Amino acid sequence: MTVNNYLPNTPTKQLPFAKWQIQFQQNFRKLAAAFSQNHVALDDATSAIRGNHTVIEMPEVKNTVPQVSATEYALYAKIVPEQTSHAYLTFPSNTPVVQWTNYQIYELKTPDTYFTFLPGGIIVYFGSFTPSKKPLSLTFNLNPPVAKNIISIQLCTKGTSPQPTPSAVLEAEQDGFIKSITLGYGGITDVFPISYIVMANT
Amino acid sequence: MTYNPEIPLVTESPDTSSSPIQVNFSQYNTIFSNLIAGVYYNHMQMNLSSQGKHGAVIFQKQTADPTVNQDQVDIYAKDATSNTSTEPQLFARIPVFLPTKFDTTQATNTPMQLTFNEVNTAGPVYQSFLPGGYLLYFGSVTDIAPAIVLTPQPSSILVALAFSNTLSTIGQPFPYTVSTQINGNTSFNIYSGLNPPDPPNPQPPYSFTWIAIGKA
Repeated sequence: MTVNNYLPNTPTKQLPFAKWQIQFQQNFRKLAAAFSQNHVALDDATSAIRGNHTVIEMPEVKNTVPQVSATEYALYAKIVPEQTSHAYLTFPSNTPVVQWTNYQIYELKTPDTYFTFLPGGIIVYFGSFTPSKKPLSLTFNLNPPVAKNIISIQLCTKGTSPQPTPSAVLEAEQDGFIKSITLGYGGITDVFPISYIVMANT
Repeated sequence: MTYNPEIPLVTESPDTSSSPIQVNFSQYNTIFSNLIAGVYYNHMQMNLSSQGKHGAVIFQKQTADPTVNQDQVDIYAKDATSNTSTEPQLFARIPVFLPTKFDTTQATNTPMQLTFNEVNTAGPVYQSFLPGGYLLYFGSVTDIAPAIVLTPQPSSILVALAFSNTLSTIGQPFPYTVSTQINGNTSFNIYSGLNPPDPPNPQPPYSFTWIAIGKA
């Protein structure tokens, strides 16, 4: 059924009753259709849940950010350069503005490697890596390769043999991203699997 | 009384139409904003200066993920199964944007679980949650002999790290060496010794902080 546009200025005094009846019906249909976009329908069979939100779809806010008072909180979508729309929070009195979602979480190909994110454009890499000196392999990759600044690195040996914690060396590639971390063991010949948590800005 | 989008009927007189119209206006007003014990559920009431804004947003649990077109973000509730139960959680779905020139992964816009229905701020095993259905555990111990049991129990423990807060008192004051061993999906142990020599084990008093991430 086609639902015509909502008519905010009906009825008018000149309109005969038969015409404004039609327009009222059109408005009631349009109101119901628009409302049901993101809410349980006004005439849902279960009265207790009418009006609850089904899904909050947030078309991207462009060019500006919502303004809120000291008693309000805003949740909205905004584009993140080089990515896509993400959820943002504006706290009461407009400060701070925080990027809530940061990246698309997906399953990584390398076993025992994972990532998630924290509000504020922070990505958290975590997992396990097994270094070796023969053949030389002391570098593990940060995937997805979108870290612009490493905030912190936590390392810990895995297993029942406690070891000194290795050092960590990171080097920005030419495109400005830090894509890997190299462990430093100095003169130590025995190396062991390590667990890591790395926090970075994207 | 139920909202009826098909009224007024053109066959009805004004007198007959007035009641169904009034029902619709009344129903819309009640459903749009429901004030209970000082809380505006879903939207602020009509005729308030804040009319139309959101009060306490109630999410009705969905059985399917919404489709996200370009330039929007969807937030909704759906059941998620963890190791301990199946509960509604909040999800976010963003548009597809991968691969990019920086990340060549062919990844779809899989919905991202944002919440978990439990946090523990009382300790000694503190727990919160991370997007992606991950559980974050953290705390400190002064006795590393017992295993650290993670609750709520995750489906798997992905990483467990520990850090010495104490310098050895034998010889040079070095931080204690440390390692962790994960025990299935229930707990992990902290191991430590002096550096060098290794062992003997740390002598009390000592303190280690730890952090672990599990899959819910």
